[in-house]
Amino acid sequence: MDLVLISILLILLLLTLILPLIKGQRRTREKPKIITLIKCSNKDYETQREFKQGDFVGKIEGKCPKCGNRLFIVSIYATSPKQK
Amino acid sequence: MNGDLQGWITTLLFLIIFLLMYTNLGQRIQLMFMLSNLKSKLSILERLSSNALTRAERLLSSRGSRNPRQLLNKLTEYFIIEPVDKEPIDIIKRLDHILNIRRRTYRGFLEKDLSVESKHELMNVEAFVEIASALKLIYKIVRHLILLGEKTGNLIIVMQLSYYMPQIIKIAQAYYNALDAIEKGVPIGDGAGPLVASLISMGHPRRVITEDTVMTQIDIEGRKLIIIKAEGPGASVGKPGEAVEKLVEQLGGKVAKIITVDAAVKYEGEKTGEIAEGAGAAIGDPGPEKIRIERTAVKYNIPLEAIIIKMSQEEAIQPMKKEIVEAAHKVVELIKSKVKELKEGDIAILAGIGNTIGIA
Repeated sequence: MDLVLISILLILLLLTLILPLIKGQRRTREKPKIITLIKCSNKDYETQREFKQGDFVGKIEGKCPKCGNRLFIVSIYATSPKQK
Repeated sequence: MNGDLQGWITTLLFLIIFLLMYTNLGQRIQLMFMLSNLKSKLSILERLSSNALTRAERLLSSRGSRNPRQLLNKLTEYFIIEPVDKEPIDIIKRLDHILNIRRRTYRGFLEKDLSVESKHELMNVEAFVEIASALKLIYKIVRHLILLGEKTGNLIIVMQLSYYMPQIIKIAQAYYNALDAIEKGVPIGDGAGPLVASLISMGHPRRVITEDTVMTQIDIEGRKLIIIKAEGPGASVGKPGEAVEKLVEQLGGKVAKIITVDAAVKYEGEKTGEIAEGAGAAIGDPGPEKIRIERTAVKYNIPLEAIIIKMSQEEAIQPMKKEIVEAAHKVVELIKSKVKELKEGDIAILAGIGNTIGIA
């Protein structure tokens, strides 16, 4: 009877040691989404899209549909899938 | 029967306790467990290093290298010997000289063997290879310490390495994850300083002031602001110290303020993207660039201000987070207000410090 009790206690002790390790390994890294933010130099228009190879901050992205001024890439940033 | 078994267990327990307390068996067991744990962690580092090297080899091959493996080996094994520090006179000059040789030789190896469209593409390849080299070096150092600890039975080495290992793995993983950003040319956290400089000078003409470094002059309500940053969008930190020194000399020291903006490592518990102001040169180079800014400011008694954007060590080499971008926009407004505080006609210099990958 004592042996059974000791065995159960030992198993519980082992589980408490092993479970956090398994839990820690399960965490997977979500790949961030890269966003390119484009703004008009006149600050009256703003749009964003997914990053494309060749994008860089300061790149001219055509003309503003509202005022015809130059559109610039002003930021490129990563957002986690949870972030909006 | 039950009593006999209990007796045996008690004797065995006493024997084990005796052996653990009065011999070095406990240490040997501890060493064995730690080494086994370290070896399993070493395999993670080995995987990261070999994957990075394979990707670097593929990248070099895609950029026209005839013998990518040989080139990669030459680059990853390239080293520098730090100057003698027992004699500190002109140590910065000697260090600067060695770092210049290293940079030119490294780039020269790549230029000779690759056929890339632009200088910026070459810089990105260079940064990619440097990260692969860093991962290889981390793996080699950790392997050396494990083998040394095992060979000499040195518990101190093994124990210290065991405690540092989670941090080492975290840094190595961050380096590995940075490879994607570098390959695609996505700005990284360390680019916070160049981003501020780029946002302020956006749309204004630029000119090269020194190697890999550009300057722009803008007018803020009658005050002149001269902005210095590494020439982007390739991965480069430029030579901001040399540029500030050159510019201040050209202006005969008539500069009302020098402001440096850089990414800085936050303390645990602090938020990413927090902004702080201080005095001094916010630049984390090995020394030559920072000392140039400091010496120039002291020579002409120019106030030297620093603005930092906080982030973790890992975030500094990962694709730039939204919080950092938002902080950079706030810093732009902060700098404009600082310049407006100056007298009309005054000149201020802003140096955006950091890696300018993905930021022109």
